[in-house]
Amino acid sequence: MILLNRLITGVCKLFKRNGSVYPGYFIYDILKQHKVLEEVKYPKYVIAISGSSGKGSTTDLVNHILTDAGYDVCYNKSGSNGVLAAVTLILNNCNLKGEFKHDVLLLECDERHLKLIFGKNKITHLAVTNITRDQPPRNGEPDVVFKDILKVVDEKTKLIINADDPLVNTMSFLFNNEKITYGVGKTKDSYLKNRIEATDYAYCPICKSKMVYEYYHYGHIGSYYCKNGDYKRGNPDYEATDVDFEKHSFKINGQSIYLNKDVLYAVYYTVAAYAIAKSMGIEDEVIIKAINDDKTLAKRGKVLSLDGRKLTMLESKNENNLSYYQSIRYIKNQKGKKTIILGFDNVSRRYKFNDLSWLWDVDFELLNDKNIDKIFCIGRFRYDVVTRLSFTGIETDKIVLVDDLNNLLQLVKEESVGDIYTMVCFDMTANIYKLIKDDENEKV
Amino acid sequence: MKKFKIAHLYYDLMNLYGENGNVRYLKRKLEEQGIETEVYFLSIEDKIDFEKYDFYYIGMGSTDNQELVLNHLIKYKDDIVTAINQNKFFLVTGNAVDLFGLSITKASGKKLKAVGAFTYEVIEEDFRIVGPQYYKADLIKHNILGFQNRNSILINANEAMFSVIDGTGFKPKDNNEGVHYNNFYGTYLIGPLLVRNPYLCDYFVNEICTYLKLKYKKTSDKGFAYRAYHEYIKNFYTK
Repeated sequence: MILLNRLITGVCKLFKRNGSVYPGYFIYDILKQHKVLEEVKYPKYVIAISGSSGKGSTTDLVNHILTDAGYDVCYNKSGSNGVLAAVTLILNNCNLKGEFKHDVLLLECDERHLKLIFGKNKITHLAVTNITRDQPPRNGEPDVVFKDILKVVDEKTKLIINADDPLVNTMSFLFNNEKITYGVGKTKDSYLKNRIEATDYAYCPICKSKMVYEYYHYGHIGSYYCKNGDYKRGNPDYEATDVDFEKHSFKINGQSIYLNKDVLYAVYYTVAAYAIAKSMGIEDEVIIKAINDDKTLAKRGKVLSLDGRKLTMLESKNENNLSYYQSIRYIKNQKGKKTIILGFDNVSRRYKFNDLSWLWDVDFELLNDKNIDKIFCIGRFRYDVVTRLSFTGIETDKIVLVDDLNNLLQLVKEESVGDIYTMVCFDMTANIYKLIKDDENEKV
Repeated sequence: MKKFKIAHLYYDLMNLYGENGNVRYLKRKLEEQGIETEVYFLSIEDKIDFEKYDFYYIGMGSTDNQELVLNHLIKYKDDIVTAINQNKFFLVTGNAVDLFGLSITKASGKKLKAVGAFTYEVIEEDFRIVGPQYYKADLIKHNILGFQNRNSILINANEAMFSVIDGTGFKPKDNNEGVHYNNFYGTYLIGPLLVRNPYLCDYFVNEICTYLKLKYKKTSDKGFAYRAYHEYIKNFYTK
């Protein structure tokens, strides 16, 4: 199987096919070799990072830290995080005796595929970033996703837990394993009450009383406690504090850390990576040096220009209200007048279903802001989007319906001011990018 | 004029699919009729007075949350039956329908006694029913749009509110869906059903006007929800 996997990978490279997934597809799906990974002799460190969001960025940063610390790391840097990609990657990195050839196997794992990739006694370190509603037609409900993740835990697995997520934090009492918790302290964007009740976890897992929140970061993520004293976030082992987006800095347990993106989720993936590295026994100085030495500022989205106005393309994942929340929060935190482009032609690229329920879980009310000049609604579900926006209190003359996408840029130029932010899903990002490039070429 | 009281029950547990849209849209449409409307949010730590409210709404929750809610709701069995017989309004969407039958048989085999307002029974399955739905309704001339994402089937239903044009009924290969008795309306369709089906919301508003002994006023400004409804049908169900 190892030879076959390499052979197919080679053929894929030759013909420029998807070499990160196709070999695994052939072995796992066509040949039905579902247990092919059970025979692999894994290295000392097998780290799996899973959760609804943030797992890819966390994995990238852990790789950076471990590599700086001198480990030979093999990880799925292409972001292919399903079982087929895992089969391809793992078999391509074994010798012919089935022995894994690197010190560390580090995998970002799809929440539902984790149990297909690993049986028990394989993962040495499991980090769970968060569990929130995300693509329900594919994933079902958050509880189901979480229970699936737990299937790979055995008594030896070290658990790295986001304590700010009360569902994920149940792992703290469900398992007697060695564990490390992390979290983010109150920031300037924290709030006391959810405007839209779209949270995925609100009641104490022990006594079923409604939990009290000291603050929310987003969704059900924040600092909570049971009023009967049965359950609480408590003080995480590694807590991010003093978050300052403008200065690109925060602290972990009092030590200054560089933040390469001015968004909350960057704080989360940095403190998560820190906790994972600590769980392997790496010294604080080594971790901090690795994070702080990499001063490359990662942009929140692709930045272009339209008639001299800055245009930032923020991809927002449909069927994930918190992905939209992060985009909205980012826009809110930028200075000056702003124009927004919002909409989609398809809800998903994985399936043809177009469930529109999630539009009502997104806190679009935050866009009712004097600095938002106009919101342009595009795509074939623009009327559904406008209907939702009509409940936000935003003045109707700020909302512009764009029936023909070809007119979008002209309308934006003529009818709006300020920096432009696209808050759209994958399909529209490509369309708008092409429109802007065509517009630039016309001027040349 | 008497205030119309909507109770959004278990808003923090049965809230998987943007259900807040239903009560927000209904409130707006009632206020367009000049009906003063208030929404009350109640959950498992509250006492529910089934004499106090005119309209009860419950949305879809995870299977764990559904069981938590059932333990609370079942205490009100007699009050609920009385309220239904007094023509109070109930709209229950997604797996909230399961709560009102005789029983829910869990995937583990455990059988939970449900509220028992109706004689149907629900069985949790190891598969999920997921996808868009397109139904014909006897209540209104416009067809119904929606989406399902559930892991239970419903058996022994008496009469159905909808017939399936495209999608799934109470169970696979069943052309019937939806429970309707007096002013009780239950459907496996999830999420903001009334927003996606503004004509169905008009039907409810009309029925509520009758309940309040008011004359229903047709409005000329239809709003974008109607455009969204017709666009969806044009894009997905018009050959």
